Amino acid sequence: MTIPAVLDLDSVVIRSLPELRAAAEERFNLASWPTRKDQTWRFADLKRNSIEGFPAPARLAVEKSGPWDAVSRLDLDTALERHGDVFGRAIEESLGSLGSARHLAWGLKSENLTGECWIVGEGQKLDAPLVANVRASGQGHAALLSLVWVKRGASAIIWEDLGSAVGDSVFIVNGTVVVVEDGAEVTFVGSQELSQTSKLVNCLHVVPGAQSKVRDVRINLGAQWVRQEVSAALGQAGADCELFGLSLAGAGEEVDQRTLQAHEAGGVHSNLLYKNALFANSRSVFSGLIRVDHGAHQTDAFQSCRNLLLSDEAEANSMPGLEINADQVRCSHGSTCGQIDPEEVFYLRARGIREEAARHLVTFGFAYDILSRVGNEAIEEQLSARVESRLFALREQPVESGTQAVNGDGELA
Amino acid sequence: MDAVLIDQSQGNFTYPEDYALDAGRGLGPKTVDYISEVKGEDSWIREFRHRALDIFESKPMPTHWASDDLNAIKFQDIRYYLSKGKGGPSRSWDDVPDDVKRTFERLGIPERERGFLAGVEAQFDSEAAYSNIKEEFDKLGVIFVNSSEGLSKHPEIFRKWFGKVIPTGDNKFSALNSAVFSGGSFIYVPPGVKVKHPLQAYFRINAEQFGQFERTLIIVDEGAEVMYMEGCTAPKFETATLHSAVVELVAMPHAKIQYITVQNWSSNVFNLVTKRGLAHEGAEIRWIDCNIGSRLTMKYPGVIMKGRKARGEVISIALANTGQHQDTGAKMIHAADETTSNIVSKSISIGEGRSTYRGQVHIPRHLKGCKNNTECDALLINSQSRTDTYPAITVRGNRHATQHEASVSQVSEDQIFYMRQRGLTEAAAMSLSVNGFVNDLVREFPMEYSVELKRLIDLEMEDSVG
Amino acid sequence: MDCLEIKELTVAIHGQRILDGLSLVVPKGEVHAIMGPNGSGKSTLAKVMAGHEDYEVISGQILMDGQDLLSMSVDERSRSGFFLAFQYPYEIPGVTNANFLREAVRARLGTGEDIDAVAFYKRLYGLMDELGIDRKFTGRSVNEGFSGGEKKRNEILQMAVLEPVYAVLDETDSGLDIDALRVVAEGVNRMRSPHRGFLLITHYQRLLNYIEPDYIHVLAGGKIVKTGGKELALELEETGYDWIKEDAALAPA
Repeated sequence: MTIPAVLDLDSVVIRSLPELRAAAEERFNLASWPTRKDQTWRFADLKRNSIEGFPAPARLAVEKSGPWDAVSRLDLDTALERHGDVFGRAIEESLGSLGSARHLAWGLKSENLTGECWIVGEGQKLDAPLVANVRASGQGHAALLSLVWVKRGASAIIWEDLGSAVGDSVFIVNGTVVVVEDGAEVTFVGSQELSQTSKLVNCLHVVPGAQSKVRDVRINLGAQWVRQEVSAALGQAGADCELFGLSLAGAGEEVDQRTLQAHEAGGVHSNLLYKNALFANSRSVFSGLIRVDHGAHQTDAFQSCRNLLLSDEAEANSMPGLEINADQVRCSHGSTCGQIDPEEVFYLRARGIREEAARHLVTFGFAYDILSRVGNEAIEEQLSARVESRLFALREQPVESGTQAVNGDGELA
Repeated sequence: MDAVLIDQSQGNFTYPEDYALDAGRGLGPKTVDYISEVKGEDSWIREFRHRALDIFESKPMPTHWASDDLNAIKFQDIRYYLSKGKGGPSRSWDDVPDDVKRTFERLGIPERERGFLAGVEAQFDSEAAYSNIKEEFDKLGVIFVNSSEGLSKHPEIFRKWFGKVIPTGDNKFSALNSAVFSGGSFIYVPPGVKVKHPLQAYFRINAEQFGQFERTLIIVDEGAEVMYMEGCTAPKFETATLHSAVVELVAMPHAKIQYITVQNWSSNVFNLVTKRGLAHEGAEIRWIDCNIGSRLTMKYPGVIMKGRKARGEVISIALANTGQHQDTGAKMIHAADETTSNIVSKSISIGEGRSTYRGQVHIPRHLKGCKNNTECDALLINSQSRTDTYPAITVRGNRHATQHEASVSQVSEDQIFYMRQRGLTEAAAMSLSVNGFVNDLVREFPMEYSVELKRLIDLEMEDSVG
Repeated sequence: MDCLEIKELTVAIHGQRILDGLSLVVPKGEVHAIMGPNGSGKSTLAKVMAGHEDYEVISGQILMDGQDLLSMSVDERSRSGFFLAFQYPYEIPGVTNANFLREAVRARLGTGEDIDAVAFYKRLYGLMDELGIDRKFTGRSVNEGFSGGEKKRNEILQMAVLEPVYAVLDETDSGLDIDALRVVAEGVNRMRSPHRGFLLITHYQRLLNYIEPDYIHVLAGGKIVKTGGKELALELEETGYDWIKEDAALAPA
């Protein structure tokens, strides 16, 4: 496929799976792996994102539960043929645009790319969540692309859960585009508990329509390395977009999160709350940008990143950012790094709760704040149980000192 | 010498000049030699300059993160050393633009200072003011000289720290300064001496003082205290388009240094400054900064808290009007237990002005009890202005607490309406609101400045409204 | 035995002495009150008894039914039967009241035992109803967004659930209006028993109208300077604390 000399943005349309793969191949060749100078990889440990060691294809099996019959499902090729204009631009321009373009292209061009397009029909209000359990197995890489279209006035809760067997080492590239039309409501929960030797590049792009309510909740409970990129194209007035994230990281793990709240037009409300609980010598990177374009007046945009450091070896890097080009806006961001509040622990111990249990309770409370945003009891309960076990497991872990975290920024005296 | 032609449309003007000493345009090893010769420097200083020149040439422009506007700097067109000697540039008062004259009036700048600031006079007759204080300093053992004198007459004090707080290779512009520096203040305060009068840059004006590449080094010994002030609110006429200063502060245990800068360079100037302080145990370093002028200012005052319970603080006000970009911030490096840092930055963007905050807070592992608090707020006055905030906070370990908050807002329309209903004009209402926004920071500036600052903000607001 | 005994307790914080040889005995079955001017060390006493790390015990002892309280950790003291109702109860975001109480109850069981959830909730709801606390509060985070009165009521609820042997109430009446005060007092009075001792720390006499103490002690200059019956409270209300301070100044060190 030739790339036109002048890129006419309005005509970026991919009409078939082979076209998608060819475009990905092209992008893979043009892009390069991240270096220290890349601002989009600032503070990341650049040794971790290598694709080496995952040459063979791994298997992805998807098990579904919930009212999937009520939803229209298309394979990727058909979806792109019929609705390339809906998803094409997002796939080409937005997925991977926060820094992982090459990784995403690598995934999209691979032979074992799987995925579907899910369409929730106009006015359709689903009474139970759509659940997709994705299980990876084997040693190697796999890619998943999900295209979600929630039509006017519809409402749905979708839960995509990624997992792998304990012994397996997989590198998963997961791309998701969620297009929400006017007046629709969608909550998308993306959780993962991959094995300790696995890696994940997770890119999500949402496009909320006018007067729509879109909520995304990212939960990271596993994997040695996660690169998570979430972007929201906020160009329709009256939209309300909430982005939540919870990551619990243990010894030797890194969670690298980059987000973009792009207020392209006025009258949109966006709110982001990401929380990281870091055990042992884990590290987190959070870079969140709120960008308000010219003319995007009456914007309300908020962002908050809270880091709970639970060991002397843990490390949190935060880069909350604002680029404001309009006025009549209310924007704020905040970031905190801290430890478990000793006063909170004292209070619990003064009620007889032992120190370990008290700290556990407080840490769970920290995490539950995000779980409670899902808005569906069944999912919250299941996730709570998993978070609890994860917290127990993390408590037991030894702190691995000596694993020096190298960051992408030059260090100073 | 050729007349220096400066772009009229930028509010500057032409005038004939006559320099006693001039290194010529462009930068190379010969320029460095010329400067060193003229000053009669020891060979170690000349070598220092040459090494710095090499580093400067090898480093690329940091445009991968900084403004592309940097590419407009034409290094080969700049004169790196000019000394006005006795004569200096002279132009008549008639040549000074009216709005500049009006500003002096409005800000209440004393008559005798106006001439100097407007480039009409080469020297500000400050010697008289200084000579009174000089006696007192001599008694206390306080040293207050310029960089050349500092290095040649008191090497045993200054050489130890010169280039240590900000190594030559720190960035391209500190390397440039290290190659061609001239002027600036070298200050030493002996143990226990708490200097009552703020030391002011203009006490020590000489032919080189307000040069482009000032080098300042302030060493305050144990338990001593000093406050240093530089700059002024009045627009400072400058021919040079590039200012690249380096300021190094060293606070020995339990010492305290407050460094106050008010910058209002004319709108053709690139103002790229590297400022950093080293605070030992129990010491405190405060940077209090106000940036109103220049075309592009890049300045990130920093404190390295090297000793236990050291404290670093950056208080910053920036105002960016059309054609200006204030790119400022702070850098706090915690290197000892129980150190605390505080950053408060408030910026105002007017017209098409652009203000950017870049911050870095770093707390490494194996320390305990460190705290950082950062607050950066931006006020947008109208729809064309732009503001960016890019902090980076790195914390290792579970024994610290950091908090960063930033917000962007406008002057509330309800507020303006309410004030106008009570009879204020829109401009007056805006001024009040804006002054309210920066008020608690303006109060950190010494009296002499804070009154002028308020008036200056009023002036800027007037131009922007209506 | 059968009492909470504080012996010659001397406590400092940041090198400054706050309690200076304080001695006091609260037998089971009795309600004692400590009153004193602000800054006299009342809250310090409460926190030291609970085991807060900020305070340094220079000398002295606290014995609870003969057990050395000061050698126990914070949670051990609680499980041994000591309860402190905080003056400023802490907020624990994300941890629900139900969860919190369950954990506290569970902490008192032996290993391998677990709570009977049904019985637990039945009892909890019963106690909440008695204290006029909306049952929905079980799902809310501990003290988060609670008014002052709600927080104090929550402290009394916890006390009722945990059934301590000795309870210290630190300025439980501060910030409460009459109705809330009455409810709190009723909660405390319901728990009065021959097997339980109470120590009320208060600045104002008002609380003691509702919870009648057996003895009142006045704390000044870091120690108890006067002990009397419940009439002492009314005296203090009329005369204030100044005469106490003068007395203390005149007394031998």
